[in-house]
Amino acid sequence: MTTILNNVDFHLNLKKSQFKTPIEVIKKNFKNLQKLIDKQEILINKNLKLLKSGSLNKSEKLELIKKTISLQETYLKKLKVRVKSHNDFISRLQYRISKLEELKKLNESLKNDENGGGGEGDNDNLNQFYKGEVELLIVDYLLKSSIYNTNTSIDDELTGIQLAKSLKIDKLIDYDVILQGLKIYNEIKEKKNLKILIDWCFENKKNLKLIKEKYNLNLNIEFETYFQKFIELIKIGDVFNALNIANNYLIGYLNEDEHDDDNIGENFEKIVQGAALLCWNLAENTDKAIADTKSQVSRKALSYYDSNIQTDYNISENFKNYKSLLSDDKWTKLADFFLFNFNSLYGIDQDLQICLLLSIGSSSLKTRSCKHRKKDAESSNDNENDVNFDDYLNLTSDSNKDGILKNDCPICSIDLNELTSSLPFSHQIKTNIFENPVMLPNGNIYQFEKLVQFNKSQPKDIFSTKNTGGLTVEYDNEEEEESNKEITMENLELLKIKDPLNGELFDKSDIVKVFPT
Amino acid sequence: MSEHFDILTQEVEKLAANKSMDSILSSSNDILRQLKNLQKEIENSPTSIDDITSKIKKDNENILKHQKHLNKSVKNYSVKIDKMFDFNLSDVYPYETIDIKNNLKSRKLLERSIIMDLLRNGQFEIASKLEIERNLKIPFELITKFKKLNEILLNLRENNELNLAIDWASLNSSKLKKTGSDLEFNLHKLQFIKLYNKNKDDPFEAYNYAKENFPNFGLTHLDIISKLLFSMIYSTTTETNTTIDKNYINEMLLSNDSIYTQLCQDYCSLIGLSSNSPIYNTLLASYISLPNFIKYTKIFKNSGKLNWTSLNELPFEINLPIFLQFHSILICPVSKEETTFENPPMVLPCYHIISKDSLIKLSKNNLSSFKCPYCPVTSTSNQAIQSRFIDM
Repeated sequence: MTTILNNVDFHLNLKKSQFKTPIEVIKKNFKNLQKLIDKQEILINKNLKLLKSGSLNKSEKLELIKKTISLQETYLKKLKVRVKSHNDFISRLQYRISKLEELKKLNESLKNDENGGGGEGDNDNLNQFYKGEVELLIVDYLLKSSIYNTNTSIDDELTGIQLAKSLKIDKLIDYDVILQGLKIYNEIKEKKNLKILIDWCFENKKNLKLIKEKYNLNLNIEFETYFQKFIELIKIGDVFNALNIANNYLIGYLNEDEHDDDNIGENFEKIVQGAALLCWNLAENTDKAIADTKSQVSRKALSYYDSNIQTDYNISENFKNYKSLLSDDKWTKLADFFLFNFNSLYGIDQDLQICLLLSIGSSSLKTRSCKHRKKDAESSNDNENDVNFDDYLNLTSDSNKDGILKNDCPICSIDLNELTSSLPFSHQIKTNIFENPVMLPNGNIYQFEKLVQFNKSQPKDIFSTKNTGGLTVEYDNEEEEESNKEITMENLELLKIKDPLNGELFDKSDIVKVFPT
Repeated sequence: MSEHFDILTQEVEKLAANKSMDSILSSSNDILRQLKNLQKEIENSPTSIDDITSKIKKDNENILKHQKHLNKSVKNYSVKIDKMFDFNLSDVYPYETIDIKNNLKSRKLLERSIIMDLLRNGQFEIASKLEIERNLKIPFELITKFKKLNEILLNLRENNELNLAIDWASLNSSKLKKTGSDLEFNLHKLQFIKLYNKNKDDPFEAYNYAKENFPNFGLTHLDIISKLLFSMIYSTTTETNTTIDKNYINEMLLSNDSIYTQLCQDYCSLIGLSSNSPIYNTLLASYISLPNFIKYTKIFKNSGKLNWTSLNELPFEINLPIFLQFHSILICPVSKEETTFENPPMVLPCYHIISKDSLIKLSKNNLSSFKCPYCPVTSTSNQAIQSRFIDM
């Protein structure tokens, strides 16, 4: 028997982020809490010492103690926020454990069922469990893919968060943490905000280094950030600050004492390459810009007004190598690289789980008998604007025609057919045909019982059409008894058999048993 | 297997039981209290602050102690959880995957099927938000259909009323029968049981209901009908022993979830969609087959012998449960290949079936007669009938 529910550890493995993210937040929160405590302790001790020293008069002492009290009160407020956050994330862990505990019980109950003894509710529970998993995957997708919609603002109103709340599964996903990463991602990619990234790098310096080691990355997010800053400053003509950045930050990455990176050489290459930009920026020459635009009439009029575009344009035309340095694509790459680091830091899955799982499930289901819906070559150029719901409407209107054909296969469905068209097929090694296959003279092979059932459910007068030459079908009179008897070819009471697919009529004697092996 | 889960449960319990935060908070509160005491002392002039400072010192020591204590629990948890996970989803499937990051069309296709799943589940608000956000217009016609389904289901779930469902099923009675669904009967059955349970002393209403509705189903469900009616007779005549009555009725009672599911499935079938959400079924298949992928990856890693050789076919068989098998599969007994549209099954005069490619080979390009690989019958290729398996 196929196991339709995997053990708890398996699902725990898939849900690792549910148990990783909270502890990373707790750790970070705890570190900040320690800093807060240390600072306050030093401050209080200092003030107490001052009070004790006798160098102050009474009113000065009162002044100081009042100040200390108010500082302690502020500190307590901050402390409470930290404690609350700590407890919140602990309770998420507890809740998630309790959810898996339910799964564990369901698993045990299913195991007992196998050894005899019925569990009617188990099937429903199993359904509920998987339904919950699917919902969670969809929420995760909607949340994380929101950054690809440039017209969506990344906030608490995100569709993914709304769905999580309406399904009451918001405790199972750390959407607040994920959101934090998406917000910074968007700031970098859309608003080219480097300050937020520089701050973040500074705040997480230690952990970022660990991530770099763990994944053996040949890029350093901090270096990339400052390098991008350097390029941006050059693009707007602020050479002074660009050099400042280079002196204060970038050069540091070439120093083996400060950074034990193994990619010093690469960093060096990059800086040298970037340095060339300094020169082109200085050639910010209006006359030349106008001349260039005139020579290429179709060139954007924008460059009259926006020297950045001009610089950008000149350099990219003449020096293809620099194109990538100046292109906006670099912002996307930087934002992607940030998100990778952010996700690693908080144990958030890098990939969209729903995409991976759908791919795995699809190739497990995909057979060579699955439909190929892919349209003819001319319309199959991969234009995303072709995607609409029209197919569903077409399908609905002519579904009566072939409504008898049952095809519940997800791969054949409009939903997934095209999406899964390039995925591999499953590996089939066993013939798997319904019981009692019978063939009609036209080659269509049906399950015998279903063919009979279909024919029985037909209104009787259809058999008296011109096709049968007015022949009426004779039924056995005692239908009630018949329903308890097994129908066989020999006792079949129908004289004519209609092909459910195309309505062709055949004599009973034309039906033959076939033997797939 | 739940050893990892058990370890994790313990660690979470330890973390939750760690009350260091409370102690830190209360010590910090105490410091505030001491500072206020100190203020009073100073106001009352003759001040000796040593006593208070030592109390504060104690508080601070306490805070430090609890910091360490908590730090230990957090660290323990981290260490344990980092050792726990033994597979990465992205490592077990080396094929091309659905890529929504670089392929805009795939993203839209996926989002369309997510919207379909949401519509099936009555999430209209979210769906219409996505419609704008992801720029995918949902036809009004489609929404209307799902709203109708949702109305029937809500009526069933929230009000425990069957009438809307029954109305819909009677309206679509012949279509339902055509697909072999017994939904209509099941609904009548539930309604009967409901009426019967409502007023056991006076089963007249239930009787009337039965008389009105059951005769149509005599052909198909006589057995159940007679049991239902029997239990009614039985309970009105004998008051003492009602075990049989209970057994019969309980045996018939479908869980709300299952009638709910059946209704959803039949409704979707009738509007031309697959009865279950394709996303749901595919993910279900994924969860079931994943252990195979994990196992294969492990074996491959250890032996280095296995390989993901064929690009467009998985290297191993996956046994999906029957409800996730959707197509008739014929493996040609000669070539051991799965038959396809291009290489269809051919029925020989002896009614054994082989693939077209094999037929051509056996008949030496349709030139000579050959013996069936399974029986002594000899035939020629033009005697074979091209066939197809039709799943109803």
